[in-house]
Amino acid sequence: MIRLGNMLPQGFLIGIMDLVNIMGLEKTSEWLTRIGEKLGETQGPGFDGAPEGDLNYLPMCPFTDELIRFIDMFGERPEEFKRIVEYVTEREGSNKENVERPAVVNTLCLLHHGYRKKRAELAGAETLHLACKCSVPELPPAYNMEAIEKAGVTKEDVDKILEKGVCVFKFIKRE
Amino acid sequence: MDLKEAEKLYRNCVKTLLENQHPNGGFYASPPGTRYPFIYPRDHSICILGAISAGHLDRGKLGLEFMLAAQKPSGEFSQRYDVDGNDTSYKDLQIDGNGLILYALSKYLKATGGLFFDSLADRTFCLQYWEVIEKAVDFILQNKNDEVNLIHTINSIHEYPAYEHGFEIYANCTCCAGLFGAVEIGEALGKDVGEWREQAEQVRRAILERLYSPRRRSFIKCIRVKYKSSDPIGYDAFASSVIDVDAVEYSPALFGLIDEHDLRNINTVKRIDELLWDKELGGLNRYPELWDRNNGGYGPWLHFTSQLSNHYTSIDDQDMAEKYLDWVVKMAHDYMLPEHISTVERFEMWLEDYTNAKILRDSKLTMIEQIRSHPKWKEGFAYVTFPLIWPHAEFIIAFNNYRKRFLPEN
Repeated sequence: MIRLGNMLPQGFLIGIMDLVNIMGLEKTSEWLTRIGEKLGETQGPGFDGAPEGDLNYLPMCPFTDELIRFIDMFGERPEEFKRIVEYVTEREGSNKENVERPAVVNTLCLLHHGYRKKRAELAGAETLHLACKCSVPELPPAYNMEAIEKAGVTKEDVDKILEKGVCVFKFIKRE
Repeated sequence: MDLKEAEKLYRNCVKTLLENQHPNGGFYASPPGTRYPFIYPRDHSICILGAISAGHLDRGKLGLEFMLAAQKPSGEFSQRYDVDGNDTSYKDLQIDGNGLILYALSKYLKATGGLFFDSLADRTFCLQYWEVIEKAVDFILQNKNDEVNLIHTINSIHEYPAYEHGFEIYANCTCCAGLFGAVEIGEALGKDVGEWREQAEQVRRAILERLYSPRRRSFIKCIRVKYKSSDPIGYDAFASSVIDVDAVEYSPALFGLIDEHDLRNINTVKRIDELLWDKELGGLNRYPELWDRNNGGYGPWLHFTSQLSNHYTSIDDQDMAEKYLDWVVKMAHDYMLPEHISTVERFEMWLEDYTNAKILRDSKLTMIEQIRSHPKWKEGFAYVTFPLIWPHAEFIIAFNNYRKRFLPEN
């Protein structure tokens, strides 16, 4: 239900859909990442998530509630969102050198990864995004296998954490 | 009170406090390998005050250096940091941390000067961090609502937005004391801080007017307001008051905003003692049982019990001061203090509530194991988070105040 006081997040999601159609997938995905980075800069150095051994994870996705609300309103998961995820997965997946790429399962993963990575960078650390699971049903988890390997863990280790969380990552302090 | 035992506890509190300061300066909330091996500005500030009270000014300074260097670009001090000063917070704004750091810094400055403030006070240190101080003050004032002149927060001392989101008394008192502290520092450095003083006075007046209930003859917990800039706040989505008793309603006097003998404070403390002193276990609970959010079971908290003893010490009521401090001494285990104490029965009740509601998360399972394996479990007690460093600092402060007032020759 939209009330004036809570229309901003929903308006932002509609804006993402529109931007895909106006500016295209590349610009939209860059824009989302840049927003995350800018917000990250305002907060300074920092590390997201709850520690689990050498890894960190988020027990729940902070965007789920708004996303589900949005999907409830629009019936289906918007086509534009799917296209962004596919585009980023394909583009980033083809660049195996970029181990710091996000494991994207929904559009807002870009926003979050930009934010998390910027703050870790300010703290002098590299960010490995190992995997992400969407709370929206019927979507498989996304993995970054190169990041998993570099983190020195296995997919099974990551899956174990995904049983109780939605997003797994590791920060490595730069020398 | 068994003074020998109290002295032993005091000495071990100082030892525990110092041992739990990382070489980088941060005081762990609980030791590495236990529940809270992070640095929380709230706990950390009280630890700094404890170190100052125990005469370890160098450790207080180290703690201040750590925190002042970890300020966020916005001027905020985060909810939680790692030992390197990186923000690892996972909760929304807890603005009392900003107030407490400024307050602790002003106490440090005062302590370094002592009786020879003009010549000895560590102005150089404060001057080095003057920009940080300015930003910390600005951040507090950005969160001040100009309609009611109170500071808005989401979380406060209990990290419980259901009762603290809005204009909460502990957050307002710490921020107000922090503003006054910044004024004192500014004056010592010859800065123009007239505007800060005016702002601090506005907040103080608003606390005394809006967070005090004359009919209840008590300070109240919170005016719940969702948005800091709501104007008029009467139309805010949350607009309501939390009038339940809470141990932190003693904060106006604790942070020096009113006199300990002020009737408003005397009556507030009376209400706290009547309603929160635990009839079964002794000691002071932090808020009413029905709030049902004491991890590990409802029960008295060591640091709030120590804290309130300061009131009785200040008004020369030795019997009551002893009642409070003696309980802390008796509850210590191996001369160390837990966060709070519950009974096995209350622990099981809490466990049932959280299990049925399906809100028992992983970290709580570890806590449960630790409670059950603590030696006091077999005596029927649930010792929750053992040790927590904060109550050690509070006991240091409270016992020093007690000694100074009642045992001056000691």
